[in-house]
Amino acid sequence: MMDPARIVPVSAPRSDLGCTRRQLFLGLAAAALLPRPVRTPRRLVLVWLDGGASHLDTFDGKPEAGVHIRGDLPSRRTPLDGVFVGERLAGLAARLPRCALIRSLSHGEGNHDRGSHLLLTGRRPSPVLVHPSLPAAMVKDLEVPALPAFVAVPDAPEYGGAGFLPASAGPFEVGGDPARADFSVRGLEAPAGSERRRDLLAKLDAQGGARSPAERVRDRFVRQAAAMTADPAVREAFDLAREPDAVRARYGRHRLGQSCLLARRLVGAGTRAVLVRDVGWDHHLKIASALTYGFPPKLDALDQALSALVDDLEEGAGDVLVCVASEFGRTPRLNPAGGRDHWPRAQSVLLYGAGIARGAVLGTTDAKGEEPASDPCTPGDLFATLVRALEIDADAALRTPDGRPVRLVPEDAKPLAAVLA
Amino acid sequence: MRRAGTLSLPVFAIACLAAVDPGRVGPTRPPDFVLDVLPLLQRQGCASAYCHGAATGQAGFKLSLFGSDPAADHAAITRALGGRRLDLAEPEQSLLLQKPLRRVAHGGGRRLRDGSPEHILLLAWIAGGAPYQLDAGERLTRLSAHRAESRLVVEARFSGAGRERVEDVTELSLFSSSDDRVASVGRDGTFEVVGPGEAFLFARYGGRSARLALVQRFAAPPPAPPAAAAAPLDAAFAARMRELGLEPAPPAPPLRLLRRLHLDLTGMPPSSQAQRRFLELPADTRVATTVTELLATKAFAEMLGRRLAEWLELPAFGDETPAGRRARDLLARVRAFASTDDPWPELTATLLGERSAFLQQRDDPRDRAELVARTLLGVRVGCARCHDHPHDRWRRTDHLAFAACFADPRPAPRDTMAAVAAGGGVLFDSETGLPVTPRLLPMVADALADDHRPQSVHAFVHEQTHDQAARSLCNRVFAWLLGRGLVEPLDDHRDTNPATHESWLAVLQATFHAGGDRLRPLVAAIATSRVYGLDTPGDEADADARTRWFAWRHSKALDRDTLRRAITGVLGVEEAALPVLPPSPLRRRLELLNGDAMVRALHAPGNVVEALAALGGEPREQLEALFEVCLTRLPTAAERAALLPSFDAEACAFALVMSREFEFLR
Repeated sequence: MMDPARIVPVSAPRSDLGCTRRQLFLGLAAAALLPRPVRTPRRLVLVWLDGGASHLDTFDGKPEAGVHIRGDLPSRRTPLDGVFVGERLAGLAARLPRCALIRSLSHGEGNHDRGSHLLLTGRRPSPVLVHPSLPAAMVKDLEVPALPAFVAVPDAPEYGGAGFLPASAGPFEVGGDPARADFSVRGLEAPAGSERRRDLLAKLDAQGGARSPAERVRDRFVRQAAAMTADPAVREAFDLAREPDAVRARYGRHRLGQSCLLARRLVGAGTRAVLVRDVGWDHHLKIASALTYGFPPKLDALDQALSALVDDLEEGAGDVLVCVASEFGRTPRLNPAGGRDHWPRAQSVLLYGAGIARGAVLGTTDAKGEEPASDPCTPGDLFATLVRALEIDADAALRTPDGRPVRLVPEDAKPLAAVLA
Repeated sequence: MRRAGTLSLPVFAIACLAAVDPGRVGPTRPPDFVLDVLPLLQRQGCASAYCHGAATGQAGFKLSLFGSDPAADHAAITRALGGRRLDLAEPEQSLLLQKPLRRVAHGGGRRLRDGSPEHILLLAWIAGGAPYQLDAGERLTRLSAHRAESRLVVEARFSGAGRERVEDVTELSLFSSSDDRVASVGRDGTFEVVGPGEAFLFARYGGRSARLALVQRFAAPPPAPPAAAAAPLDAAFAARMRELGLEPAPPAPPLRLLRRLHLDLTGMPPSSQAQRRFLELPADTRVATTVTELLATKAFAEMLGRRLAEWLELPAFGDETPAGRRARDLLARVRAFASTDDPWPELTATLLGERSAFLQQRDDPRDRAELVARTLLGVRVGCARCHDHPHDRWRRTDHLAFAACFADPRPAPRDTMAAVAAGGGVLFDSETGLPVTPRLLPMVADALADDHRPQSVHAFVHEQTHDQAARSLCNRVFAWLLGRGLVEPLDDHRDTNPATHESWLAVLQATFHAGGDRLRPLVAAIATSRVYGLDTPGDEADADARTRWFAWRHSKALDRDTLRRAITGVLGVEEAALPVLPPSPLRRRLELLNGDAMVRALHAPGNVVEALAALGGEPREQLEALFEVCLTRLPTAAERAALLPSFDAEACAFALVMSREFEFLR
């Protein structure tokens, strides 16, 4: 017979205290029958490179292409065979064996708004219906929590919100720049001496008879605002000052770095989805200098922030999925202004964490980075992949305002098995 | 020709099968694809977006969504896969039958019963050589539905080549109900009335729909009241309430009504003086007098300007680019129009004019066409951009032809479909590559002018035969004042989405035209009507049902712009004292609850708290004054008991402007 002392630490229920061996074995047998141990639902950090990051200068380097294609920025070899990334992405290059990379994402929406809708919702834009983004669909049925279930840092791009779902599925936008010394999320703290005011408000609101649906929605937000104000843990989750200086420096004292750090704090505290929006990737002019000058250089900030995020989540529970994406790639051939224009026919997406295979690379583009050369996939497929990795029901029906059911995952989308764990 | 209601499938099919009662055989018509098979595939759900109608089809078999492309579907069945889906020699062996009968594996499960009329029909069609359309000159000209006990019977009238025939197509039609809470309808057309109210049952066949109204009274209608001279809207209101057997709510208390009028029309609660004056006016004319006065104020013009900007989907801000400046000019133009009482068509003429800033907001002519249809006509042509809409009349070709009316006569930015052309712009069909002939929407049976000059678009928008511009506008004004439109969603007018009270819309359209197509007489007619002045429900059991039929008033949330103005207004501080409220509801709530601006406003010099202190009355008087200013009423006994002990004017003022009652018009 097995020695229970050897088993207990593995299954880790603390039920061994004060129970007989028989009870313990019955318990273990029952646990073995459960399809999956109960644990916290998987969470998402979506890093949105707003404007359309150039795939050639980030994750799909073409060192052997002509200079009019590869541009002025060199690429570097990575531990993965045949994968070249921007030279400045040294940290990420070293971490690629822990991530999954999709290089053959391809679609046909070359406008920012249409491309954003497609990537964020998995569906082509419709003239009559704005679909909900993935994070909104994740949190639509959650109870009113003190800590918002969906947070956008610092704000959500167009189509990153609730779409046709009720406003309660939308993001809580923290606003401001998390890298500023005086950054704080406004309105989380009750002003001094406001107890009496809020007490009277609660008394006034408590009366009155039947409430219309709209009034009940308003009441829900009032309750949540009060709960957020009352719970010190919420303020703590949003308070970057609680991070040691060394950690803040590791993420980088810039907008993207501190946004990613805030995202990590929030998912650690129980937020289901964080959308980090990094603006300024629409490089029509002089892309080489736009990516490598400035404070901090765009690529350095990306490398530093994502490397720190990947390291921290590695130490943590592994229940967090990180997805780095934007609305499209950029033209492989440099334009006369030394920039790159919109290019939806090829783009790269970086994935890491929960449900994602480590070191997987899906697809290649042709020698010029213009088209997928193998394993072409669509934003719908990416959406289905994220849904699968997050362990959400792909068949769940979302209700449009006129009552029509819409499947969460587009009907023609297939999860990309190659990048799934 | 077959008699209606007795035989419902082409009897040729039945004649084919010995098992069927030969007594039912009558004059025959062999089934064809367009008239019989296509509707059947839709009805069985084969062509839905979840099955073979999906963009990529299903298991290699693709049908057009909702049967919008019959020729392609016919080809997919008869010719694709080397014609393997049909077996003309042995019809019963056809995949088209074997799959849904589940004789071979079918991902969609069993969709046909062996020996069912649907089975027989498909069999007969294959046996007959799977024809596309046997009489190509024949067109479906009319679809009608009538009830036979608790079942809908659908008749189609076909005409062509000098012949006309009527056919029962009940078993090929799709059924739906406009309101499942009133009546439900089954797949075979049997219906059941489940609750009080009015519902329309729809039957769809061959791209057309027919409807049947069902009314289930809430209670026996009260005896008709003595005929009194009533405003047309009030008369229509009373008639509909009688028809539905609904007892309308009593009139709202005078001050509650006054609060509605002031907040709706000027965005500010009534002052104490306005309240006293209202109560002193003669009861039978005070509403009309007040409405007339309010409509003449600058605050009303501003409110109307904000509503128009919302209806026309104008951006709130314009940056310092040429496009941003045009947007600001446009907004200024619309606001200037709101301060006059010019006829509505004068504004729309500006909006639709040559190189108008309104249309120039969008680059793609299709976006322009949809913008015009949505904002000025309240119709969603946009669905037809991708597929023929199953519940609407627009075809893809209608959408494209209408979009062609808005093509630019100049080189357009990239990524759009407009091209360079001398004189008029040309739109090319992305599927065929051919130029599209501009055509106005087929709103009425007779085709309208084949022209795409701005004037003809304007003339079309205001065309009296459909009167859709007036209908849409009246519905928007009604929704502004009542909190909900007679047609919802506001931009979704179509035959299959009827108004809650069709007669009221007709009255409003007549009122609008009688007032010279001006907005103010229309607003006045609604604001002085009986339905506007009804009370809101308390705890009544069927409040939801009654408010749905406008027998009681809904409570209505102030929009965030009005809320901000109203809060600063009653607190007696500058409007700018509160920042623009964030659109995110949770952020807005936190901003109001904990934000610095609110605290500063409560302590601002000269605000309502200071004014009360300066008057120096008893706490009771101060509390009453605060309630009067903020909520247009006096405190109840319970509120006095809660708020008077250790009275704190500042805390009270905060609680009142933040309360649910302040935010929702009752």
